[in-house]
Amino acid sequence: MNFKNEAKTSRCKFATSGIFVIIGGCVAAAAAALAASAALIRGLGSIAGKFVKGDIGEFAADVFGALKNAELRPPLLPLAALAVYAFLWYRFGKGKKAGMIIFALFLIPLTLILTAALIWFTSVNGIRFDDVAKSLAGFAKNGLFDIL
Amino acid sequence: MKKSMKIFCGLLAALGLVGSAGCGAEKVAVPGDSVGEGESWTVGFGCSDIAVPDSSPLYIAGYASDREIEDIRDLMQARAVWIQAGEGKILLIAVDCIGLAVGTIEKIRASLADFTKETGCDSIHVLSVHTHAGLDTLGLWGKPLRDGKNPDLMENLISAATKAAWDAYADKTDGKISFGFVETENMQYDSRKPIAYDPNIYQLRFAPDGGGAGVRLLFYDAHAESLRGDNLRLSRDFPGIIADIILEKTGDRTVFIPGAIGGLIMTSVQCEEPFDAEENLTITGRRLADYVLSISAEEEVSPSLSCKSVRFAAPLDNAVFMYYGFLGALDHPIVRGGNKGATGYSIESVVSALTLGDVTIALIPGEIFPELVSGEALEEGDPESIKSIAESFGRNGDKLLVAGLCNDELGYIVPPSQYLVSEKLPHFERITDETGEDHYEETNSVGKGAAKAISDAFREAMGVKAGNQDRILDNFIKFLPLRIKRANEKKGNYHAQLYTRNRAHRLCRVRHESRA
Repeated sequence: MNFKNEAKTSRCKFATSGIFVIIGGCVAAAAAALAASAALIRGLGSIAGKFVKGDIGEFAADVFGALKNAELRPPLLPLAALAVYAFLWYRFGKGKKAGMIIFALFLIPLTLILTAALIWFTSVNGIRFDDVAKSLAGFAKNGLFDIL
Repeated sequence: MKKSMKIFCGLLAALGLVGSAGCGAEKVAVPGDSVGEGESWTVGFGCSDIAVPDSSPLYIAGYASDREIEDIRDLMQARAVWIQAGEGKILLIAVDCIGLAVGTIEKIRASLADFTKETGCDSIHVLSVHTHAGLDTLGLWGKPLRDGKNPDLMENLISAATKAAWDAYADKTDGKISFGFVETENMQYDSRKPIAYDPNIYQLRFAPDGGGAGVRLLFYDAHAESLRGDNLRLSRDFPGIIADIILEKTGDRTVFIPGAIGGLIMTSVQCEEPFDAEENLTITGRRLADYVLSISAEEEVSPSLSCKSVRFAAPLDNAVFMYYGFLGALDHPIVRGGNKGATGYSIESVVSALTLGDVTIALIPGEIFPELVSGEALEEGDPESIKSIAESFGRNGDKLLVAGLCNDELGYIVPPSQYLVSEKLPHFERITDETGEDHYEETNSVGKGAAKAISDAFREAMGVKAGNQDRILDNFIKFLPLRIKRANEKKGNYHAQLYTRNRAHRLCRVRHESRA
């Protein structure tokens, strides 16, 4: 009986389970945040509609030009989850066909969800994107873009 | 450790640094404190034109947005005054512009790093004259939601302020400072009830011992907008006219400092109908210069100086500030949480208390309503007035001056009892109350809590011991890469015990007490 290998396998399984729990938690948290924001995203559609009527090209260029020099601070949790995922891919998925398939199933939706969460909670010049979006959506409902 | 694990830990460490960078750190640098007493005053003056760049656009600030200048009547300037009594040293820089955010002012201070090293003065205070015929230096007068500041202009402004500072230091000489004032009549207009403003124009006049050109600091409660809203010519407005007349008649160099101008205190129209901007400007400047030159009953100011500055956070209710901050158009430090307002954010700024002999000057980072200074017409729920606070520390309330728009521009600072905004679109929609009073000032203010935050900060600035041991030790503890244990932290009294990283050895114990 090879106790050393059994112990090693047991540790790997434990570590793997723990890591998947962490990833699962991140996914659940990100999904919950996005689901709760669905109404807000719909509300932002009215804002987008206003800009479509105007010259959004020039406006977008100005806005992104301003953001180019902005102080960006991404949220830690989605970044950490992506880092853990990258590590797992490197550690377990590399070169193994079965592992690659499994990770591909996780990769696309997880990356999309975590990227969305990343943007949503990113701070620009110290102000979170979701705070601006929620505020604008609220004012848009009250007719802000009708008076501007 | 396996290579893969090392990579993983490295990634996590990097993420930790990225995620926590700036977490909980205060953003506003506070001007240094200064205290001293001497045999005489040492004062110097410097002045530099702010060059108008060739690049465009160049938006004129103060009224409607998206308006570019068409002509130049006279150039914006940076005027610096060096004031020293013994070891106490301060530098005041007045810039002919609508306002400067604290971020821009910090860039001016950064450009004066060599100046600070050479002179030993880090009590550098920058204020705006608030001319409404200058170029946009805040970012609010360009196209909507876009930064209206011209980057080349801002560079020229910083260069001019730096040059003026060095010139002021080189110009310094010994002499006497005298305090005087005169009441002006029919020169001011308060556009919002209650009618409350100080009609006096105050002067601190420096006269060199050996004769020659002196320096005058003028404090007056009035917006510099005698050219009014249709003007598209660049100008210093009436402060420039006053300075030119006083220079011509006496040889003295002048710095105009706006006082408590919130509410909205401006100079009344001085010319006959129909309104002519140039004529109104000339008459306003001449009449005010005549008032200044008529000041006769002056009292000498004893050569002692102290200046203490305090950082504070005001609740940010105005979402417009948040949006412009998000886009980087406004250079204010906006922080999530803390003393948060309706937006969930607070805005950091600085208040300073400057004493020159028995004269007290409150350096306020915005356009404060006169009621909040004098205490007149304040109601329940309003904070303690600046004058009351100064008097509670034994200062002469009749010699209390206000330097508005100093070290920041937070907009109007409105008494909470008068604060009224639209329910549906607060700070976007301008409304009138049931008496017909226009509440425009609220749309250009950070929020209802700013007045109390400033009042509390001024009290703290008046009370903090010179040298500000608290802040020095706070910064030391924050950045020391050792394990710190802070015990008995109560009202600033605390022990700090420094340990090596593995807690094996206690390096030292620091005991500190602050005076409330």
